[in-house]
Amino acid sequence: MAGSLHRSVEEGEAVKAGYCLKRLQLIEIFLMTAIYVGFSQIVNSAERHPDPDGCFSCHALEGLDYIDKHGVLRSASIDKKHYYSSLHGSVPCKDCHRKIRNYPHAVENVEVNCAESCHVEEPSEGEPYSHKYVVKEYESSVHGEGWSKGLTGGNRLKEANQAADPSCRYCHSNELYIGEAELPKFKASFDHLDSECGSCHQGEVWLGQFGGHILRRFIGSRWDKNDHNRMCNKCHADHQRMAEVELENAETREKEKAGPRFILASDSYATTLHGRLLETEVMQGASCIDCHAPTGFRHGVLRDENSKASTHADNLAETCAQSGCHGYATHPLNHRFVKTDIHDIDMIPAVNDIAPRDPSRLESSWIKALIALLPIVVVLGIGSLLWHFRGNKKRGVTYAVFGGDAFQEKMIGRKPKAKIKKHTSQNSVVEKQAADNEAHEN
Amino acid sequence: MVLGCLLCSFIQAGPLYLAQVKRADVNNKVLQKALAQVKERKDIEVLDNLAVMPFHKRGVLQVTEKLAFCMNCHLPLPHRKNKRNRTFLNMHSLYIACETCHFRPKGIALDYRWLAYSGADAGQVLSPRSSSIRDPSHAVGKNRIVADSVVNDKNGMPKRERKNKIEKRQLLAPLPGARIAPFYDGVPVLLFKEDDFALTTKQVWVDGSEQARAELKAKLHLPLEKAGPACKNCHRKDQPMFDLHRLGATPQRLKAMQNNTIVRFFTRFKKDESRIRLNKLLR
Ligand code: HEC
Ligand code: HEC
Ligand code: HEC
Repeated sequence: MAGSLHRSVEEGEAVKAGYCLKRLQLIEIFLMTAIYVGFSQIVNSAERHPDPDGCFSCHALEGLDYIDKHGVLRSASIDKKHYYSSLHGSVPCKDCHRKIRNYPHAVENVEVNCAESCHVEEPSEGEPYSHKYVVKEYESSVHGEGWSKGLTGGNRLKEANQAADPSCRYCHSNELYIGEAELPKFKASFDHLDSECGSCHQGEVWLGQFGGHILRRFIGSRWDKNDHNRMCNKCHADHQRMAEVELENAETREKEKAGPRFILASDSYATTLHGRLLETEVMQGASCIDCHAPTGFRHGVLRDENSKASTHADNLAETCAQSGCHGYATHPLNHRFVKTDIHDIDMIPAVNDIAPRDPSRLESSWIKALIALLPIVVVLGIGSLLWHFRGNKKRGVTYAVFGGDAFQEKMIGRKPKAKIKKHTSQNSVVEKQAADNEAHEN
Repeated sequence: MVLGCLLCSFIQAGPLYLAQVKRADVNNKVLQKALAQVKERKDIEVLDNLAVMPFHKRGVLQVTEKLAFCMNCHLPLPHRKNKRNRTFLNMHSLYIACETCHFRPKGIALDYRWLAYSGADAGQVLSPRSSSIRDPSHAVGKNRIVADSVVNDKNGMPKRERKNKIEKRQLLAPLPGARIAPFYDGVPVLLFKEDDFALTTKQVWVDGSEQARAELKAKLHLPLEKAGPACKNCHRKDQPMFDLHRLGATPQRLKAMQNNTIVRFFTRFKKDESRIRLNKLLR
């Protein structure tokens, strides 16, 4: 009995221990679950909700298009997937379109000011992110009269027709973090699939946005030098457009139509080694902004006359010597290096659709050389002609006129090539007979 | 009404709309108005690809092989005047024929079915998409279908997209470009742009005098409704204009259509010119 009691106590202990174990297991499971849930919440809470105002309730619908009063095709549909994976994918609509409260939206409430700060925090400083510093630099640049605020879908036509300088949106659109063209490179570099990063970071938004942002940096800058040049060339290679540009004369301070050096700037650059290197995808060449806006936010292009310009005569050596390029340019002995004309329009054929006979072209070294040589050419030429027609020729003396056939016949005693050909093409039998006859006679 | 239907099925030569145009008796007042419209009218050149590109990515405009007869004179995106509804009406024109909204003859019961505007079946009636078949061309991601593009939580706020999966609404159309069109006696009541009648009227429209063009405009529009049905006519539970379930809507989709936030928002507008605060959209 005691034994049985003992046993039952023992059994009781064992059962108790079993319970404890089970409880531990339960706690463990509970903790695991809690940790898992907590962790996944953290991951989830890292996901942003870029549409707190519910704009996509309407704007995600496809086909919200119309033709406005100027005939411009307008679209109110926003491709949600594209937007979330785009450069502004984490920016809520109202950070840019600040004043929208009513429907239908009043046009003035839709206007975007690119210098506005948005509610996305810049991670390193914890400050609201803003393009205002870039805009400031741009506004003080040669392009500064372009539009950076008041931008709406509806005034694109007005801008295209009226604005001379490029606006922010003229050069920048809301592209994908990883452009279509970059995607193969991106995939090759990372063999990147949902299954790799996707096991923790769920969803296309993560892939497009965060994944894109981080991995993008590994592939390289979003812009390569040719992208930069393409952007500048969108306007600067357009001769018609450039011919309409008015520039302030540095001395008279009056606006004047741009000259051929300006109009043909893109063409002259293309003939330089820099232009040609980049054209053949050799990235050692310097792009337009490598020289014109090498520092800052790379929007501060200034006129050469401006003492702050990277292309000002006093700063050129520094500019050429930047980032391991022509380091020797700053050496006093090499001061002439910077005299190289990167926009030498004499490298461009004179037969050009724009300003082919501009007087400034007469200042070219080629023209100077021609001017120096021309008298000699003229004197020699006239002399030859005079001598040919009126020269005092002696009898019996042979003068080579063209090709010196006479010289060959008379001096060397050999038939000129042209004559031999003529002969052989005639009837060779007759010729042979004549030769035989001659032999007989001899 | 039955008599009316019988009568018109006898008189009718070709599509019902055509028959009604042929019988249209234009009075002087209508004609004068048409004349004024024709005089006032300016041809519009649609501008796209401006030097200043749109900042946001654009969708591609849907083009079908067959075009509505109306396109002989109207732009492919015909609604331009009313700021509030123009984009929504143009969106509906992608899956609803012009005539469904603008041709609703009194006393005649029309039947609404899917009509193909593209592909081998163009001009033919289509059976609705069976709700179990999913057209991969419409779906993105894991082919999940959401009942409505606006998914609201308990507080009426738009729900955060689950796991940031971007889900695309699946349209009802059984084929891309197909439209809900009115049928009468099993025949579509409408005309296409390249039908004989359309071609002859086009000739008048291009070469005719102002008077001739005005007469044509008046005649063609007499059987038409100036404003189409109100949003509610289709987006409601009781007696909608057509039975969306028969046209292939799943029960969820049907519910989303009948109780659509945007439609509810639209019914708040009492005056044409008014503007309403957007936060009311979500209530
Ligand atoms: C022959 C040319 C022509 C054709 C075809 C045509 N329309 Fe019109 N429509 C006009 C003109 C002209 C107006 C006047 C307003 C304007 O200039 O846009 C007009 C106006 C309208 C209006 C505004 C109300 C009114 O009557 O002024 C509606 C609605 C309309 N059309 C619908 C249609 C539909 C639907 C079709 C196809 C079934 C169609 N139209 C075919 C020329 C045409
Ligand atoms: C979903 C229904 C619907 C469909 C489909 C539809 N419309 Fe309309 N349409 C309307 C309504 C409603 C109005 C009145 C708009 C207003 O002024 O509020 C209208 C107005 C118009 C007007 C004159 C107003 C303006 O903005 O210029 C024209 C023209 C017109 N429709 C042509 C067409 C044509 C052509 C088609 C086919 C491509 C078409 N509609 C398809 C509902 C529709
Ligand atoms: C002639 C009938 C008709 C009229 C009138 C109509 N709708 Fe619709 N609407 C539809 C149909 C059918 C669909 C669904 C198409 C599909 O999903 O393929 C739809 C879809 C929609 C959607 C998209 C819903 C979603 O979740 O994708 C919205 C928003 C909408 N309508 C709003 C309106 C508004 C606003 C009006 C009034 C200006 C209106 N509708 C008038 C028939 C109509």
